[in-house]
Amino acid sequence: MYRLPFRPEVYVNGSLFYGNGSRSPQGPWGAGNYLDASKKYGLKDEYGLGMWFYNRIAGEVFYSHDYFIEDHEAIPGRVQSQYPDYFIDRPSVNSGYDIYSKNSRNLRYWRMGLSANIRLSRNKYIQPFVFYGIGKTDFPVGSLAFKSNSSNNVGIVSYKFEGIPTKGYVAGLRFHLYSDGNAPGEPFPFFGHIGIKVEYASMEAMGTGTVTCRDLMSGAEVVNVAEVSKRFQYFSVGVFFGIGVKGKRYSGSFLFSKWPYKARKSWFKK
Amino acid sequence: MRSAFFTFGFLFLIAFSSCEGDQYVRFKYTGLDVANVNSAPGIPVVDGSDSIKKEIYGIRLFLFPVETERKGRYFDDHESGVSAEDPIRDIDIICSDSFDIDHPAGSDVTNCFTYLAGNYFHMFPLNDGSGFSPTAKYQHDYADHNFPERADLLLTRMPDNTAYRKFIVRLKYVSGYARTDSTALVKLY
Repeated sequence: MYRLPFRPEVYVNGSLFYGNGSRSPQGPWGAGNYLDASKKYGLKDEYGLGMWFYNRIAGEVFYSHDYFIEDHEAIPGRVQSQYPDYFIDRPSVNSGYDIYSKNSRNLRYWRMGLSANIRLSRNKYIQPFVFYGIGKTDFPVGSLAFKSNSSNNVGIVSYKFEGIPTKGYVAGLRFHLYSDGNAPGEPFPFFGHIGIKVEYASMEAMGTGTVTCRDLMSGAEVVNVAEVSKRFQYFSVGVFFGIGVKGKRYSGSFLFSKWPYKARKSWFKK
Repeated sequence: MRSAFFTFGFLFLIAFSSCEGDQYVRFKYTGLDVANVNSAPGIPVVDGSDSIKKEIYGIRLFLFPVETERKGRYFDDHESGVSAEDPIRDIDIICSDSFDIDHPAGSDVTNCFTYLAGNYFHMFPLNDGSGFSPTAKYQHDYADHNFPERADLLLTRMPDNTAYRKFIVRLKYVSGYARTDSTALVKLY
């Protein structure tokens, strides 16, 4: 029986990110300004699996969840600037409307790609990586009241932009620290690993949502379809930890072999 | 062992005390003043002019509430109870001059107005059988001003003439008591 020269690793990552996003185009009834109310930072958590080949190249897949910190208080002001002939009112805490709940825009996407191992020492590595990301973005749902300055009529405008298709790329570096391998022949199959990661992500959400306008007096309702196109560009710094599987009859030198890799015949013996 | 017992008991007392934290507030209405307003700025403002555009016209009721009781530790926007000792049950608005073909001089024009409950997400047509219950809970400063100090009534059905008129407002309370006041003469154009 031969032992194959690959090992799996599992990752759990938490990060903070900071960046910017291009402004959304101006949709009907302030949709563009409504979508641009996020602050420039947020939190990320992701979970992934990597498979290392010959300790040099890994194919990895992660599921990421990026939460943007929203500035809900700024939304009416941003929309107001676009509609000076209206008074924009936001729901109160007892309104039953959702704009000031805790929902936030978030990207949820799969990222798949490659990373490489650059050995620093026996159990420390620098790992550059590049991923392609594909998933969806949910923007916060909510409502605003538009009261005309020239009449007592009021319209309630509700925004819903959920599941907007999103894709892009991510590139960065990991500083990776592995736990020392057990002595050859030790039966324990797992090892731990921790590290710090910095990365740059450029993701673009492009799709359509709905803006619903309801006249409060007559009850008449009109549903408009609005396009959204928003690019998120941000740096993130985070920590990760995880476990890997050494494989049966692990040899410590297999994990911590020096560059360039040389397969040793003894590693493939039964 | 004894110190642990007293520590846990003390912590329990603190926890128990803080469970009854939500405030309960009572107040009473002590007067009534009415004034003409216009809603052009968004939130209606008192307008002392003698002619106002009818599309933005409204009436403000100053209710003069006075707090009579407050129990509890904190006021919670969702959980705290606020009640009036003698709540307002209904409202009548009488127009001094002919309003339109359906409302001659001296008739009840209450159904021509809508109550703005401090937030444009909450506007309640009047005289649809549900009475009139001013509240502060939809206002953005509800946590600091728990009971309604005023109520804005916006004109939503327009008169068909521009005669000078005044609106007589009568508030009827649950006890049967009533208060009456009227706006200044105004021309709605």
